[in-house]
Amino acid sequence: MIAPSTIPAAMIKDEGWLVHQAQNGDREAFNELVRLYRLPVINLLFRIYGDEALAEDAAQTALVRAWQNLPRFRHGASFRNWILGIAMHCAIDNLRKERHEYSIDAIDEPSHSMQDDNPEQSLEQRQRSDLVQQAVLALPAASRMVLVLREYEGYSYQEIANILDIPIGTVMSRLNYARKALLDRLKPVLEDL
Amino acid sequence: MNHQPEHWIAAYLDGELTPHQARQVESHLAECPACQKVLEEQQSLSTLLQTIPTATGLKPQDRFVAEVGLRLVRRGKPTVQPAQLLQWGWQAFPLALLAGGAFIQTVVILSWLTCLPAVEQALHQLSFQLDIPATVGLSISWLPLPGLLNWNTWSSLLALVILGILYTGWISGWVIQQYVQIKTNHQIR
Repeated sequence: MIAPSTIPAAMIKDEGWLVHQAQNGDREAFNELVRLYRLPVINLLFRIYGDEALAEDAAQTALVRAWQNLPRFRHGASFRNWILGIAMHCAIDNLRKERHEYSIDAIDEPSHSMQDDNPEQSLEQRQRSDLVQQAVLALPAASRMVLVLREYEGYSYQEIANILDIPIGTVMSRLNYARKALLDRLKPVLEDL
Repeated sequence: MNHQPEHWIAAYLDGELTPHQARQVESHLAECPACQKVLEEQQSLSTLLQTIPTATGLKPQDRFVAEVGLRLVRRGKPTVQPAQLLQWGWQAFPLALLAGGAFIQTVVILSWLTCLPAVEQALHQLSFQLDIPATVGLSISWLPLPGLLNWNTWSSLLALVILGILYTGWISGWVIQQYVQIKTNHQIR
């Protein structure tokens, strides 16, 4: 498990002030928040869609929605949870409206930044991560969302239930379904590890 | 502890168990090779999932921020959305019914009390001491709706039955709403 998307501590210190200013209509303060949360929001949506362009577009929609709803944000609550929750609801709305079930063949070719010191090993790793990504994207959308929030964002079951507005039992059943499906699909890869 | 289902092991790995439950799982794992295998598989899966790269071919940050900025609209004072209003109404409905029921009960009890000879006599005595004309007195006329106190058992029972029907209607509506919600969630699964 990795730590949730990292944000510089100094920025978090000023986050409350930025949120307060943005709530009062300060666009420059909101732009700072956009800079701060651009990558966490895009990466979250990228895990859901498997497509960078779609993830960026949905992230912009989510941030615009966050601006509109900012006056209703309660002080003391986690801004990160709030904004990622909005991003998830944008994804849910898109899936409901357009029944996006992205073909696993249409996934962007992942751009790997690793150094090719050992090309053979690098190719193997790339193929493996492609297989994993395809397996995740082949999951039903609702299970994929729960899995992404748990495995990549590190949220607890209760936090996931709050973000997605579903019972905690549903979180557990979707997560177990997702993991079981992945274990079945990735069995050959896991055996090679 | 009996054989551990996979969700117990998943919850254990996710740190979702109480210390007592975690100890139970650990003691079971110590003596169950099948569950140890499940644990190892789930750990490996978690590690494998981290190999998916993050998005890298993104547009420059400044361009992204500028594009978001162009889509921002001037924000007025926060207004109550119709959906929010509906939600409030939905929650307020049983409270209103409860208040209605309490009101009816109070009226019935008051009308019963004021009909008691002892109470009637005490009220007349009080009106005499306060020097209030007997025609005004502390009779029932202090209520803006004196007719309400003329309720008999049947009319109050009828009102309670109507409230009961409304409440049952609300409960049915709530169940249907939950069913539709679950069905919608299932469809996107």
